[in-house]
Amino acid sequence: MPAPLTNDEILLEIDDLNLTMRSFEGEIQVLNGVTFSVRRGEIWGIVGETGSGKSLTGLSVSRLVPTPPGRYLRGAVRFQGRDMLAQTEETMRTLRGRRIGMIFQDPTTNLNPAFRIGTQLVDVALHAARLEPSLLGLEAGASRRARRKAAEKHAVAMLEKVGIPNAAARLRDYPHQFSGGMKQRVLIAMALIGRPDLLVADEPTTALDVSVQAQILRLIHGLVGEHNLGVLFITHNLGVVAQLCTHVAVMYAGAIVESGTVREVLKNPRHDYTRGLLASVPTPSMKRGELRGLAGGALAAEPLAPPPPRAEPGPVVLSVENVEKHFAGARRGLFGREAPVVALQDVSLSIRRGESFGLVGESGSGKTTLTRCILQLEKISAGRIVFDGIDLTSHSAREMQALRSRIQIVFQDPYASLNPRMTIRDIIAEPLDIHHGKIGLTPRQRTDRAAELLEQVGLGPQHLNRFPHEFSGGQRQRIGIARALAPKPDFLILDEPTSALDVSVQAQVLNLLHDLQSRLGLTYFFISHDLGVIRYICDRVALIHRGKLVEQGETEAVFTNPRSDYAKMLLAAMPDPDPDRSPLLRA
Amino acid sequence: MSGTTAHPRLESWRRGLYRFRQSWVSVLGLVIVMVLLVLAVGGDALAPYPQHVAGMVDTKARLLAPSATYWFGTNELGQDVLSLVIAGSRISMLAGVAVVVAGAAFGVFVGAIAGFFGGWLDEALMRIADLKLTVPGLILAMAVAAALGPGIGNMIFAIALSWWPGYARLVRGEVMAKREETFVVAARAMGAGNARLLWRHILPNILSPIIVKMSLDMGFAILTVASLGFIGIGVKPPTPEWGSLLSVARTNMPDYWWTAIFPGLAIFLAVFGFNLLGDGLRDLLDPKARR
Repeated sequence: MPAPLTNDEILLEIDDLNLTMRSFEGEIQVLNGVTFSVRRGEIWGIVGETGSGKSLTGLSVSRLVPTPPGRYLRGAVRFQGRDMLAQTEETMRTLRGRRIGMIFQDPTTNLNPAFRIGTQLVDVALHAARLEPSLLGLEAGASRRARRKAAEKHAVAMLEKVGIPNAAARLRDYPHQFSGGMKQRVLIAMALIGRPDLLVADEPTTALDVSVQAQILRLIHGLVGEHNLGVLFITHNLGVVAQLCTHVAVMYAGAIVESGTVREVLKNPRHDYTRGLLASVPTPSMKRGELRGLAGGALAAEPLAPPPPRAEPGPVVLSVENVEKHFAGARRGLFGREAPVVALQDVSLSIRRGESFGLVGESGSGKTTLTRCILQLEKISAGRIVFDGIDLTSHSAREMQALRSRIQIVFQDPYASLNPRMTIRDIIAEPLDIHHGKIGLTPRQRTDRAAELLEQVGLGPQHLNRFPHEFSGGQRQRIGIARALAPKPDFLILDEPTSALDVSVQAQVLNLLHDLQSRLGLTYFFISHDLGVIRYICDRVALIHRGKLVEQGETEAVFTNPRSDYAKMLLAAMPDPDPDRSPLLRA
Repeated sequence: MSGTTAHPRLESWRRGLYRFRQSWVSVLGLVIVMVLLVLAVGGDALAPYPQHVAGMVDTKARLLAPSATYWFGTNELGQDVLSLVIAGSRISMLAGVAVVVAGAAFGVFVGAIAGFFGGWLDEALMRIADLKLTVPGLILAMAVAAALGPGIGNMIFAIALSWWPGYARLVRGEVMAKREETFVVAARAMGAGNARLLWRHILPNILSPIIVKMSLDMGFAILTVASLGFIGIGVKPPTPEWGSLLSVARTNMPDYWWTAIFPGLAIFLAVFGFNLLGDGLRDLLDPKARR
């Protein structure tokens, strides 16, 4: 086992890296002179938005960018002094997973569902041990059996290290028996099994809940201290960078615009883009409409929308009264069923006309089930849902039809929620066709109304004949909003409308939502797991945990003075984009 | 207005063409299919001896080997084999297309209903489809021909009857998957009815696999039509059809090989061409390859 060298050994040096990708449009330069170096004990955060080249930088480290279509024009990636771009594929295989550990975004797709966790870990351990027998503490000529046994012991030790309780017994479990956070821990254990010197983590916490994210960040931070690793941590989340990283490189359009220690960069950003990125993250001190966005890679000169005046909230428009929702349990045997799954338990809340009501919860907490119940896409098991004096649950499908135009929804994923085979005009005009079919709009009127709606969300009539795949995520979400506004609703459910978007785009969409609320007098039911966004946009907020509301009240009151343990835990886990507030870095 | 409409569609066509041309075998398939289509449409007009197709017998030129005058030789009636093969392409292609279109139309209808509504309706329809799959297609076709009498219409009906379950199963699965997609849920939240959900949102999005299956099936449909012709059900001589040409010529083997080889080659080329085209189309229409 190589003794850890001096503390400031340069592990990874990327020098003027230029990468192009061939595609239908010709060759596109995707990395443009990327230069930085990582020493042992340093955690480098690579931040950037979609398409900035941060993932390709990470992949280049272990030369996992396929060539072709990729082509390195010039530059070098040196790992412990060796130029990775000049190594043979054979050498690369001995480095990957051995000297360089990698963790990816989605823990569910990175474990083979057909094999036990133990089998997968032991495989990696045996592979690593073939190159370095001392890893398992065995002689070179040890028997197969002995090797396997030692590898298993090593795997258990690793699982314990990443905080999996009862590790020895869990080796027999399959991936689906682990939660998302636990799977990510298994993958981290797998990455660490060959005792790597460098860990490349590509958005390892993006798919996880904030509370789990906080645990994983603490874990990585602990491992760096213990094993004197270097870490390349790729993320779009400035909060996470501020919490965990010692250094940061900000990427934009394939180039690093600014890099340095995390305090230098986040406290005193020198580059416009960094300033813009920081100004796009909602923080507690911001007032409505104060978020600034990015315009062409630089800070927008003005806040995106001047805070418009808004009418005082009126009487209660939607009240959810003691709602319960049970799903039938899984079939067991020929006739039996398991106990029903309780998705919502005694949920009561009331939303006033013209306000923004936030619902915060982690995955599986029941927030999406609640929206589906309000929309009457699911029948509730008990309780009442009253909208503007009308009990929705006692209505027939036909009567509900008329009410649907008043309650509309914007979905989380702008890529999946628009029909890929329809033009934007048809998508936006569809609610009109459904609800005003009897009035019979002429094609001209239909087009005019669609164009008007597009202008309301900041797009233009030139987009009418395009298809969804020609638009960016933010533009698609605007189209989704325009569609929701088409039947002139007064109540809008926003189901994580910005969580699939980059922060700068999120800022624009949030400001657009503010603007629309003031002008159209809409009521928002805003669902999110992002506390910063909730605080920025909502007047009142409710927290849901395992199907039960644990706390509700005025947003400011809940955020400054949380009463339930769950609220306290969530607030503590929320990554703050201020490095001085990081419990990890302070330590 | 038309300028903005043309642009994105044209762009996506150009992308598609670019991807299609990456694989020369799919281009080969397209070429073969195009040639066969031209022959099928042109028919008699393209045949060097259209009078032979009409049934003229030339006893002086019986069973001549391929030569400059008769490229594919002549048969036992002194008819030009090339002319017969060209004329036969019309019946074979027409029957193939009709079988696939009829089978697909019925199968898509059944599959869409089963997948969309689920429950007992799904169970019932799928069990009927299973039942259908247990009866071999050729036997069923012979039974139908026996009951209704031979003839091209009955033959198409008989083959299509054994063709639809494949489409029903494919479409059912695709519809069940698409039914849960967010844009379908979005349309439901808007208040769209079942007919609109199926026609506007679900079916247009599962067209690609249906088209791919249709083009792959075309070859097999032509083969089935030829087999029925070979065993004497379906088209009767003197109307030239590849299967029946082959059937008549099998007594001439091996001395007068050309009378059997060329109709057989035509069947082979048709199946081969449609399969290559189908593979190419699958690559082209695969939504994962789409941006």
